[in-house]
Amino acid sequence: MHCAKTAIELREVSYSYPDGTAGLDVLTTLIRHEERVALLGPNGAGKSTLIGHLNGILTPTSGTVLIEGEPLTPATVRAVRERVGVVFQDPDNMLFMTRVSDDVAFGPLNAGLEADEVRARVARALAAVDLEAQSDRPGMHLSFGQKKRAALASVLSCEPAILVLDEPTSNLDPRARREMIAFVRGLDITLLVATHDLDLAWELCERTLVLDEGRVVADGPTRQLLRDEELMLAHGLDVVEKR
Amino acid sequence: MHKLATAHSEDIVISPYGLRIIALDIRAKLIGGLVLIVAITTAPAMNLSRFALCLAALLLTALLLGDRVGAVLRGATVVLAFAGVIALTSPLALLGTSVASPDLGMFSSTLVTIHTVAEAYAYGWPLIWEILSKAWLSVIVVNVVMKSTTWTGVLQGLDALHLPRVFLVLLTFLYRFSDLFRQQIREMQSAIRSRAPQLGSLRRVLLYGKLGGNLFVRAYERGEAIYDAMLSRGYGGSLPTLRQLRWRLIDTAALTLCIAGAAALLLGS
Repeated sequence: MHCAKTAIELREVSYSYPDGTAGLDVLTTLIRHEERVALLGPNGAGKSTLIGHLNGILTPTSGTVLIEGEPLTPATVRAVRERVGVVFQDPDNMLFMTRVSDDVAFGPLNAGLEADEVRARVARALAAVDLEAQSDRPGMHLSFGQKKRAALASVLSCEPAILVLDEPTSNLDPRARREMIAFVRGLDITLLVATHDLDLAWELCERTLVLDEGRVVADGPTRQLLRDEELMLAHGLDVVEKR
Repeated sequence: MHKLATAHSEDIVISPYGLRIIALDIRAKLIGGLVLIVAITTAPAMNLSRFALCLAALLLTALLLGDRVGAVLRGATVVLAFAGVIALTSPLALLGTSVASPDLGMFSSTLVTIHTVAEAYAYGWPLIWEILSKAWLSVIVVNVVMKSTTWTGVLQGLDALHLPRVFLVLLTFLYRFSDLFRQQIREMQSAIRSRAPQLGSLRRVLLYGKLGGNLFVRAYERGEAIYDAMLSRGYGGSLPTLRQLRWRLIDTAALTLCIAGAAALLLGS
């Protein structure tokens, strides 16, 4: 059981973009295994910057990122990428191969798995997102909702211990959005979801981090924070009126 | 006869022979096509009968694959825009040189020195024909090969033939993102039309020039995002796939047929 173990830990992480813009400002937080955490904040709060640090796409200007207790360094980055699966916001950026099944097989093949194991993972991942029938189609010929699910499958096939989703429901129609939420709810995995979709945070995540100007400005139970009108409005968010 | 629904157009009808061509190993088709193109381009003379024979063979293959003669011929004319420039200027290379005059019958000839542009074109028209006919036939070969496979198959075949990885990655991205690129251009065009419907032709052209830079920046940013997504899934410099090719006797036979055709073209010159 992983329950008490740390999945993600950021210790006083700061990051500045090359033009000097501050992305993260001495950010410290900790996420345990099998936690489901929503990452909320206005545009430019640092959500995507934080995600970029979780698998070494971005390197902190100062501070340390630890994945399952191991510091993220150039020596550990490849191993960390096998444990932290990131599904980016725009699926078109994730479906770069010529067929959906090739995209789903990309991660496991790069991890050096045997062909039979990769085939099994591809089949499982495509079945999980209900895209078996689309496996031989080019990613560009899918609907947007299907692209989102294919992008998710391309990460699920890597069987990561930690799943990071960047705006999983953005631009989806209501039905596709409901399907996506239902699917993510069924995943038994450590989850970090960056989103503007407060209903999604309410339904999926027991804990929420509110980010603003590169700092964690609130950290607590999702339903409690989402009802806090003053906090939400102060950081460019809405209040969720639910029981 | 089989009906196949294509992604972009109406149903096409493919003969059983066409299906066999489609089922060939892509390596056989790529090597066979390359051999034919080399033979066409290096054959010393492309006289009318040889040209007609080549064209007939290629058109027959295209017909078996469900293509229409007109479409095949039209599809290949795109090369004339590029080859035409070279072809039309090629007689100028004859200026100051001596060529055999064909005027004195088949048993004797004399050398004529080319002094003027008019003389160059009078004696150089076979050069124009040579370049245009060879370019046109070569493009028809490419089109027939492409008609018998998918872009994915071509990439797989090129990979199996050990084309350098960097070219494969480029071709993959070219295929994958040409659609996105077109989409971005369409969106920008719509934005221009909706906000500046009265824009004159000249100003529109100038504006498109500026948009070229904008498109480049967008393409660069998207390229960066894609690279990040690739790194996240362990990208290490190659694009591995699970697909496997299988070479059979019929592939050897098809390749042999292409080599025989190429040899006939070269030896018959």
